[in-house]
Amino acid sequence: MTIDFILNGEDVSVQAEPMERLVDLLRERFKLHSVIGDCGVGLCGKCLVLLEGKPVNACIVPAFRVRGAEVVSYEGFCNTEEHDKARQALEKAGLDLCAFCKGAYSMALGYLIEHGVRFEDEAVAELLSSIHCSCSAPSALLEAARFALAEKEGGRYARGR
Amino acid sequence: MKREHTDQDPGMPRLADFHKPDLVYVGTVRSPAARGSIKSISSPHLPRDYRFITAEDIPGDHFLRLEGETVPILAKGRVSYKGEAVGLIAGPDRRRVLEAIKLTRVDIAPETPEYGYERFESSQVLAREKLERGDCRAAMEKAHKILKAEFRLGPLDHYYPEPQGAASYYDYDKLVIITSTQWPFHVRDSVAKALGVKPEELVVKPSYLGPHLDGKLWYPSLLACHASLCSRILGRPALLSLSRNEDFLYTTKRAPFFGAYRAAIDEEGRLQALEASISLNLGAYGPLAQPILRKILEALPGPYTCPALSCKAWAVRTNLSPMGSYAGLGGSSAQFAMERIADLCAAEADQDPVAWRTANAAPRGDTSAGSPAKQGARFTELNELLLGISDYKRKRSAYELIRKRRPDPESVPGFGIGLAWAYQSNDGARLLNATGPTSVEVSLGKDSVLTIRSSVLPMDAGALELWRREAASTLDIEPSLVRILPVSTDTVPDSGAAAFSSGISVVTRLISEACDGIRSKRFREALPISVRKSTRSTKRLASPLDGASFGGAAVELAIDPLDGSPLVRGIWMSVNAGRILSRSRAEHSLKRDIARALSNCVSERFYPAQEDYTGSPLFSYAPLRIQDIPPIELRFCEAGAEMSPGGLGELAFIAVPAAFASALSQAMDEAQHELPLDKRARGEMLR
Repeated sequence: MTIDFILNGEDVSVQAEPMERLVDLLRERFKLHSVIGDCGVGLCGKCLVLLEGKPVNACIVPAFRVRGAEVVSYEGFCNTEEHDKARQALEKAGLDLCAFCKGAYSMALGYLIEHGVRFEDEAVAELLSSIHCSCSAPSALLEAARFALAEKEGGRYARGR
Repeated sequence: MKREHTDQDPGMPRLADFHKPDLVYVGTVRSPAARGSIKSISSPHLPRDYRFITAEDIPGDHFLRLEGETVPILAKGRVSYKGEAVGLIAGPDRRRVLEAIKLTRVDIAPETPEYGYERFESSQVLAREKLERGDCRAAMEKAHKILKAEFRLGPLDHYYPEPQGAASYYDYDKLVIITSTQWPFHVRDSVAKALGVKPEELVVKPSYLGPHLDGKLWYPSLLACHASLCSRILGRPALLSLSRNEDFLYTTKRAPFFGAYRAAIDEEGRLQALEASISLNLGAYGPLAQPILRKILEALPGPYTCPALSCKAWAVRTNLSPMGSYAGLGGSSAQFAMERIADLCAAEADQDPVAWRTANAAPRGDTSAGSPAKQGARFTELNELLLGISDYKRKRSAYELIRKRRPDPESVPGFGIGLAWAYQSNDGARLLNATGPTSVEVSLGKDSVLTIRSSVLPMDAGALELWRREAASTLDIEPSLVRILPVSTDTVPDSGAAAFSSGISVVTRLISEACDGIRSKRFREALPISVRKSTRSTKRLASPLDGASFGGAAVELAIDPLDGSPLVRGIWMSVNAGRILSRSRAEHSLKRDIARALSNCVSERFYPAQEDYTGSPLFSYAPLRIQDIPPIELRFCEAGAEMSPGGLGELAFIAVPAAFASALSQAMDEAQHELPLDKRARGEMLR
């Protein structure tokens, strides 16, 4: 079937089997190597992309699901303001993430920043917990989230003080 | 490759990004049975570009060799574990390769597989070691009390950032191999033997290593043989990339440990003798069996003094996938058992576990762990720090009151805090016979650039910064003038296996010594000046406590009244690992290891591929997620600041499980000697 969708801000069209996994589509057809198809069953979260603005694991999204939708991979996310904020927060927390989870964690932080989530919300630990990589300390990742979200909160609530 | 080697990022590409024109993908045809003889293998008709490769196609040695053990590169005639590689299918389309593998039939005449290792036949013995020190029998006869206990530690997966694999391609007259390995020269030599070529005709460039937990010592060599074989036969670049499921089921795991111990104490509770019978399940092939047994015997008394020791240890061959090392060479299992013995002895002598440990710590000159220790177990300052940050004594007393005075003795107390000590010897690689001395070559060029060459690849690019800073400060030059050459077997000296924290504890020292050598020649000789430093090999083994890193951990937990699972409230750790090169990096890596070690205890129960196993282990093996990790607090001892930098990689994996088991024992009022926890068994126990 022909699948038309928006990928990293560009209209794209691709011939694919309806049940082909989005991760394969992105890696093999569009050469988006930030998307890692590791576990293939939605457990490790290293293939995280934003589908219609929400974080999803591309390994369990069938190709037909992205028809007419907007998909953002780390390559597209790199051009956003949220990416810069996420990168700064990771640096501030002293994190040097590996090449396998860097994209997923950065996008997760970016998503939290964009949606104004407070650090105390369960959603923060929950979203970060959906990505599993053994390269970094969990406490440091939470620290990075705290830095990223504190900045956002400061901006929002500072006016009211 | 997407990322090529550069000065800034010395060679840590991902295997997942490997791409070359005319690339063939390699898939593995695996044995459906755990034991038996191969009757036939029938593959489907393959298109022209595809090839089915069996052991018959190997031009050189059919076996990978290490430490006296042989592992078939591809099984021929017989299979020894479910999933053993019996053939390879290579072709340009990955999906068609996978389809062809599904259609391939391997017909096996099955035999009854052997999975048990606690009781075993003599024919199953892969390796054995024996230790007799002092008169154990006499000490047992004179003992005030003799304590008995059995300890079991299950297999653990290393859960690498990228599943294992290998890629190979021809670059003019040389075959280049890319794989994530701790031991590039072992990969080179193994592939050279398998292909029947000279080692100089091959170049090994390691891909991203990540936190390997000593699991990438020899298995990458096997995968490199597979990929290289395909490249050689098809004349094209080849990529073999295991799926996460394959990596889980068929690559090496921590060797399961069983120990039956007897400990003798005198009237004051001092340890007088220790007798142990230990068996390890090494699976179908155990190239590391002998070094692991040697390490277990060395670590048997832990950091404690024990006048008489007697131990028999066996590495047992079974029909599980090959097992091996995990965060050290098995010393963590022996130290776990000793820490549990320490708690039992303290309880028997009615002493506080910390007081017992302090009274029994190995003093200077102690010979319990081998040669006389130049320094004893250095726990005094470390212990004070740990007790301070964890509030151990108050909590322990409170929970003991709850345990002893609970109204319903049938119920569990529900709260516990445990403490354990650990040490990590900083020359672990010497136990591997096959690895030569670690070498580092440092040269100062005419352009004032300092070049460091070593085949010890650190876990990540950030660790290289430590070497760069160390060299720069020794020679008083800018760190930007220090260049660390990417690891490639044709340009760096053989530095042996990058294992057991040798990157920090050995290579850093060698770099510093080599830079000292350059400094003394700097204005006397013309540039370029090169200095090569190697570790000295001595026949006499030093005490493992000499120059070791020490650590202590405390774990506090409560039992969930609904499902009986332990809810860890906090983990505290204090460490004396000599001079800390980077406080923030050391904290990050220790916190990561502590979280991982806790996860190993509570949720990483691994069931290896047995005959009747059909599911995916990914669903039953559930490492703790970020939201489940309790607060972790760390302190580094200032006392170590004057010493050489020591390794940290094993400490958390020794101290945290032992402290966790101690806390759980108090919370359950029942000694816990088995890890990881079996949730099903615990549910039954609580009912």
